[in-house]
Amino acid sequence: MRLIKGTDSEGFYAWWYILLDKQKVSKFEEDFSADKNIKLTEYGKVINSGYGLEPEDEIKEQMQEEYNFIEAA
Amino acid sequence: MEKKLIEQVFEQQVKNSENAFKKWSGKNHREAKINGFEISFNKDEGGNYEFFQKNEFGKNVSLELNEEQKTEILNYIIEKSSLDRLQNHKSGLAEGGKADFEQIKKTNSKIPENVDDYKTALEDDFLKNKTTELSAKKSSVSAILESVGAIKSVKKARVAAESSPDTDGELAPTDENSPIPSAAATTELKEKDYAEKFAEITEKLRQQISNDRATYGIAFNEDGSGDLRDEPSDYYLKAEKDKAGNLTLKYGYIDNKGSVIKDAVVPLDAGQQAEAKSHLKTIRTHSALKGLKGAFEQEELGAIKPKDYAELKKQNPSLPENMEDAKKLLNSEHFDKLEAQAIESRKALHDLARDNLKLERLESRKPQVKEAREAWDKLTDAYAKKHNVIEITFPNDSNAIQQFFGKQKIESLKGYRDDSGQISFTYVKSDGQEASLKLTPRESQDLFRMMAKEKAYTDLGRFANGNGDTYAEMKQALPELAGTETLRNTLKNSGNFKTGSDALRPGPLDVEAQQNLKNIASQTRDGVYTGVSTKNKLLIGAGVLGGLGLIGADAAISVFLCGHPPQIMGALGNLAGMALNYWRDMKQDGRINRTDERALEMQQKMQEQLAQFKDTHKTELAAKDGELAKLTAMVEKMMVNATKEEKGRPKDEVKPGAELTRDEGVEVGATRAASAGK
Repeated sequence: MRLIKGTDSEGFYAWWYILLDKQKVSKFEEDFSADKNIKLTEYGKVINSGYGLEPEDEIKEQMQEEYNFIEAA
Repeated sequence: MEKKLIEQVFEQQVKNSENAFKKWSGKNHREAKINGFEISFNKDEGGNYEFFQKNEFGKNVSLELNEEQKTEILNYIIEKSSLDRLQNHKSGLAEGGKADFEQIKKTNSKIPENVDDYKTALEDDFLKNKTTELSAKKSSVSAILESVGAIKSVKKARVAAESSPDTDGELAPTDENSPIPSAAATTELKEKDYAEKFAEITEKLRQQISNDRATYGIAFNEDGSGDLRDEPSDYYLKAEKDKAGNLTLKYGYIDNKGSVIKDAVVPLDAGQQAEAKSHLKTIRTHSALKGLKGAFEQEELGAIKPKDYAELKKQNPSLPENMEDAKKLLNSEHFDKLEAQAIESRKALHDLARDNLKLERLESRKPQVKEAREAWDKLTDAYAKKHNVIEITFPNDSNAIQQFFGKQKIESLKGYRDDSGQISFTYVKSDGQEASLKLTPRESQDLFRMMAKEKAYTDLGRFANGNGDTYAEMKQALPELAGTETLRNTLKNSGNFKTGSDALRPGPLDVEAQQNLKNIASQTRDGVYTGVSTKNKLLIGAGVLGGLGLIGADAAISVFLCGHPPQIMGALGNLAGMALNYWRDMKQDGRINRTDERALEMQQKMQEQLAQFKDTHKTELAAKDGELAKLTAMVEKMMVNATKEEKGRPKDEVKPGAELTRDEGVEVGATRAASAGK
């Protein structure tokens, strides 16, 4: 599971929780560091997404509850 | 063939409603919701109906309907209300229903004596068929409303909009002689008590303002308008009170040489001090209530909730018991009167400042200034009335016109009026491409008049500067225009149309000075406070913050809230204002200033400032009570919702430069410690 905070292809600030396919983790890491747009659905399933700089607290809580994902301080 | 019983009852119901409409005085606006259009209407003494819709600033804008269209809308409203009434009877008389048949019977002479007969009649397909028929009529009425520029889904804080979802055509009565009663109108505060209640609230606010030593800024135009955040203003005044309660007024203006004079202290004698304080109280009271009104109007943004109102009420006991009454009160004529008084007070303070600083009055500086202004006004009227095509070229220093285009670079703008009076516009962009403007009829009229004004100014200016070629056209449009020699002398001696001055409008040399003053005035919006002394606790939530975008004022904060330092609340208020403006821009599809480029620019600025705010005030945000954090979260949500409502979800394609937080080597669902990395 990964949390990505950035801008979408239209330029709007957004965040995404993505559940990566095990086989595609390395490829994702590699492509993520490259200077190009990446299409998240090619690497796994987008579990949740929204606009803004950060997910709202209730979303974070939900992700913790359902996926045990805790964002480090 | 004799009509079915239910058909007779329905027709009687329609007759009853028509009679009630005939008897209705028509004085107070009545509201109706039709397929998402929230409209209101009234009736003059001659029995003529006029229809309105509130614009985004809460002002009633007349809908230009012909008699046939008005009749169609009224008939729909009457029929729909009648049908709803019978449907209510049906559900009310159904098994377990609590409706009182004896009472129901009294409302319609065609209802049979026996309740079972009536229940059987209500089961007839007639009601179902009528519903289908009215559904078609609803579409037709919607098309009429749309054709005259009414806007759908303007979710105002109106009683009519908040009743059951099936309220199409239902009226929200606003007077006691309401033709069609509605449960939605039942609240504790009666309309007859509005005046008293409004006076109580304003008096209380005036007292609070008297005890407060905040520095208050007012930005305004010559006519006293200009309290909207979006609108650039020409002047400003700052009011400061010392510990002893003495008032200092500071004025910002452009002098005759085109220089910006900032914070000129206006000398005031004791009587004028009292007068100025009273005007300030009126302005600030209006500003505070306008903030609350704005918050109500932005309910869909989560701007204010009943629980926020309940807290606000605790702090301000003079407010009505329930939020619905407060909304109605702020939509009443009493608020409109206060608004008019606030404008008059701004004008009065302006006069006081100019008189006491011995600045020349614009109208009295020279008789020629007055004459030139009159010539300009009359020529504007003549052009707006008689010309069917007006074209203006850019660069153009009319801010009023420019605001229709935001930051877009425009080469020229052309307005056409067709035989039916409808006005359309095309413009040429800087890349030579032609595009058209999509405006409401009211906006079209406004813009066409602005263009007429601009053309009149240009034509007079060219004539004053020796180009005689514009005279014939001007004279044709305005036969009473003075002769060539007289007119040229008037224009030249007025000091305008040649070298520029601040008398009529800035000439080319003054444009920069004017812009500087406008910029300063923009930072001195109504209600920019420093040193707020009120000790009230921060309670209202994002409600007032939502309203701030409309009034550009931290006024409501100062009066209603505080406990947090004003600089924090001011910054948060600005963020809320940005969010609100952004939201308005995003939602207004088809408006020229709503480009993706502009939207992106706005949201980036907004989010960056939010991040900066959070960083600067992280200590306060982490405070135990969490109120500021809650408010900030609400503002953030407003920002996000604006994008969400327009775009849905973000694209699943991420641009470079994003930040990654990962789960290192832990399977989903497994217990693991938090870990993160970039």
